[in-house]
Amino acid sequence: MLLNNHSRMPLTLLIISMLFLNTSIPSAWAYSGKLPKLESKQQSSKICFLSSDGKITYYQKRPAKLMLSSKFTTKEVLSGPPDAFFTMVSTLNRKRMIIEMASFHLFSNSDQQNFLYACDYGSSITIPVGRGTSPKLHLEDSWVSYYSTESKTLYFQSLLPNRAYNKFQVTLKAQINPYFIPAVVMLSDQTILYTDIDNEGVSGIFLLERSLKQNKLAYKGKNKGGKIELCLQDKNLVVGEFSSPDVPSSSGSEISTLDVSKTTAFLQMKSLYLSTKSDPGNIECQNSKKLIYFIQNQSLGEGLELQAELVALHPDTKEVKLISDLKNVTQVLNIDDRILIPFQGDFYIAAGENNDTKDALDKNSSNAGDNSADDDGDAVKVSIEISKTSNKKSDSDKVITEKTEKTKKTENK
Amino acid sequence: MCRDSWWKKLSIKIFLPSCLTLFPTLFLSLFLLATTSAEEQENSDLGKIETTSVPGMASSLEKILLKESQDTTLSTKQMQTLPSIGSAQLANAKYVELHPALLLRILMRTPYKVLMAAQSNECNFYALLETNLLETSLPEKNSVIVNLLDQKGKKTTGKLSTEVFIADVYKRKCFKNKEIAKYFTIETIPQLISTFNFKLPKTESECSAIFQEWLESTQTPYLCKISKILSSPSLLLKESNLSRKLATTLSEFQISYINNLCQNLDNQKQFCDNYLSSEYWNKILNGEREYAPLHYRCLEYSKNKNKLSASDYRKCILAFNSHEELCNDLGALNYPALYPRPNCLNISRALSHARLSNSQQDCPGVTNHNGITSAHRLLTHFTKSTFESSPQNCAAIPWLHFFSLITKGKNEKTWNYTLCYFNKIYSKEICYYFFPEGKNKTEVASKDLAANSESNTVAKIIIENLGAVENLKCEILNKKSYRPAMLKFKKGCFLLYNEKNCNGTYCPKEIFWDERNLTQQIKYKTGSLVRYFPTNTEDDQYAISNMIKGALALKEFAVRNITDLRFYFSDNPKNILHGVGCQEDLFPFFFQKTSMNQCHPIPFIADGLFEKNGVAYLVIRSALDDIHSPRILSWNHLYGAIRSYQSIHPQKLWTLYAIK
Repeated sequence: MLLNNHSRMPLTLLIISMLFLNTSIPSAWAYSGKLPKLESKQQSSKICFLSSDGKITYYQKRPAKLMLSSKFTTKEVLSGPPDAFFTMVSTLNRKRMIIEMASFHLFSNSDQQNFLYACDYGSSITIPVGRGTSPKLHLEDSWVSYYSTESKTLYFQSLLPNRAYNKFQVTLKAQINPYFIPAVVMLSDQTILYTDIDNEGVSGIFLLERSLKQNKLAYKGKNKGGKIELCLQDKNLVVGEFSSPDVPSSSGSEISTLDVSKTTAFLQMKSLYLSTKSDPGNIECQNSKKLIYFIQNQSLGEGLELQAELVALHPDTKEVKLISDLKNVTQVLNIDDRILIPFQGDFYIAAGENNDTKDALDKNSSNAGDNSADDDGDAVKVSIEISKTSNKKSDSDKVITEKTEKTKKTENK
Repeated sequence: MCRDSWWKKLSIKIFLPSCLTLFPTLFLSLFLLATTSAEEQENSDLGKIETTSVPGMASSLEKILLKESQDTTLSTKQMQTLPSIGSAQLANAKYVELHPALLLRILMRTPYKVLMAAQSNECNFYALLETNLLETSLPEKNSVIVNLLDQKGKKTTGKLSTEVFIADVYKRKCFKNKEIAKYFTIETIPQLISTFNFKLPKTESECSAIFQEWLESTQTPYLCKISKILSSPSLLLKESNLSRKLATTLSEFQISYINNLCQNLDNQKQFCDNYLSSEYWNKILNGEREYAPLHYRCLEYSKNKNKLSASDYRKCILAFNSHEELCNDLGALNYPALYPRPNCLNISRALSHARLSNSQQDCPGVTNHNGITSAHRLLTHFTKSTFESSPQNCAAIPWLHFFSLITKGKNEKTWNYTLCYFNKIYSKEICYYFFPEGKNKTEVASKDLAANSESNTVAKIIIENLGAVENLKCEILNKKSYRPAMLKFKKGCFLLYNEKNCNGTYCPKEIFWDERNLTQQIKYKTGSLVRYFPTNTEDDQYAISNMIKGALALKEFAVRNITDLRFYFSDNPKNILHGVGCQEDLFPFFFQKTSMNQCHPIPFIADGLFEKNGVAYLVIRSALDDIHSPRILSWNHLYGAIRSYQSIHPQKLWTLYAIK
């Protein structure tokens, strides 16, 4: 049957519209899923830290400078040798940050002795802390821990005034895995939880009581070759135990919590999540919404390919919600309470705002978005001390000091 | 009673399948024999042997089993009454055949898989009889009972030696057997075996054809005789000598092939699985692959053994096949690397597709430089160089190997490991290159290279500048064991390390000579080393990858997608890939990111590719992993790790290359 002119027209339109749609459909390789990509003023591969409101950005400028961009100014924070590479850690307390400077492309041992510095949140003034890797802030950013895999030593140092007198270290076993990096949680400056691995390959949680000079095994892992991860969510210690996919007949994955304000007896842990599969884990506790994020194994059957996605576990309901649809998620980051998925050189936002490109001033500029170190009395003290010792007192530092006084006055009111 | 039930069970196992499928000739002959026996029952003058009721295969199984269990015809008493058949009588006989009772006994008592070799033709049956693989279970060994029909039509039943019987059969028929039997002596067997074609199948249909060929071949009974001699050598001197000779003259591959064939004559699938199976350990057992991936694990598994025999390796393989978790930590303490290692099954899968040539063991956990670990592996693959590695020197060997590359290419200025002292005559600091030795002196065959070891370099400086004797040698010691009060420490050169601050090749030392502390005078200057891939254009010729390419005249091609992967792997069986990716993306189970753009770049070698269910998988040996414990990663996974590194690389370099 031949198409007459009347029926040919809509058909032509249909074909043209399909062609149009086809050209606008992204290529098969581009991700077109549900998660937005992080947009920022800087190229995402250069960013070391980005506050959740987008107002503070630490980024790496070639060849080897760490810069701070905040309040429409940029300042140099650190500069290093030509191959230097910077990474930063911070917490939701927003008081201090730790900068790790590595000699990046030179392929020394992956656990090399990197240079560590501390600075106030949003500040460009740094103080050296020590040399190691995997730094972490504890106890409202008043303490820092870092690890040296060469000496298998975990170092703890206070960042408060008179910090020189407040440091200690713990030596680990970790003979069987030269690349082992312990998980650390400080419950107080006297009580520390950290993980170690014995010569049988079983991980365990150790409880260090400094005042009692006691260091004992508080919890022994179930699986050889497995790992234990820790994070703190308010008063709850979240313990993730994940078996290795390479060890046959292991027990799978489990996430439990323990109210450490009441007890450190790990037998009283409450199980929130159980799986027979070996999940990659990498748990992150998001305190603001009380969710536990981790990477879950989504592979079907006994395939060789690991298909993993980001999921969120609600501790109260034990509900596990699938967040991503990227198929090969390996990591999750909690950057200033924003949950990001680093994936093939980009960052996807799993939780939080994507407003880093907005430059509009907020209506209440003194309170909202002003995430500098001015808010906390302790931090202010450190700032002042640093500025006294620093030879360069820039105008911006004076600005910070003045603002501090203003905020204090408003608080007093 | 027990015997009855055992025989019944055995018979059911033997007879039911054979009845259904595989005994056409014997089936027919026994049937005929049975009928013949029945017919001749009354007219028999076959002596005292009761031949009246030997059931044929067409009879009921119950009758056969009952007959066999009650059989006294071949008892000692009966045998003694049988006449011996002389050679003259044999030569004049019109027809000679095995007695049906004996035939039935052979069928009942010989393992089914041996009978499989006889099923295709009669001559194989006689060859099996000749090689004593058939179970006659007669009171008089090496003899048979035959029915003989002479020229006059007279039938006789008698006994004669197997050898004579077989010789007669080979005269009348089965001439090929005669030829093979001639060469089946201690002196000639190895030569005979070398003429056999042991074909390795690549597909199931190919294997099926090869298997059928062997079943029909007249060579098979003789091969199975060899297998029997090797596996259970007899006390007879002749056979014992033959066993020893065979074990030394035949290759491991030939022995394993013959054993596999003869043990699985009734199981084609098992025969084929040993070659088609992805079990790499079986391929080592078959002699198809090197022992290296097995050797170091097996040494640790065997405990207290310095040398391993073939049976030790077999025991290890049996253990690995049944306990996959053994491979997770075997060797982990002596040769530190990323833990846990893959399990035995996954290692076997990976090695089945791998092509990296490396017979040594390294210890990336204490070599302290991932770039050098990976470079050493590439150099070993392309140059086939060998070093004797042990837990004591495995950390230093990659440094030594890479240092030799640097000195060959005259790129010493890129080497930042120097020992320096202030020369008062020239009033300047003079530095010497060295490669670090860690806690132990590294024994090196090459004198030139040995001169650059840490201990020899220190000795050289002391000799040239402080007037020490020419033959001064420096020892490397733990500081705790250095006792200057003792006489032996009064004279000599000692490099002392602190146990708590010494990890592999990162091992700062104090220098003592004749009780003098020279640590301040002879200074270690160690800096960062060259890059793996170039990060800038100024000194990219000093990147490890470029130095290796230049030294070995290799070519490098970027691999960006699956098509490129397939092309380079199929282009040449020696082609391999090397690259760099972020360890947090390569191994998310082991490493967690806590910062934006956190990436510890790790070099890796990809030396195998296979596809399953539409997904491409690569065999990866990262610089963190044990060399003989490769991992399998999907292309998507690897791509993500390389992309992450590319995003933070100063030149946005794509770091995956094929090298050939």
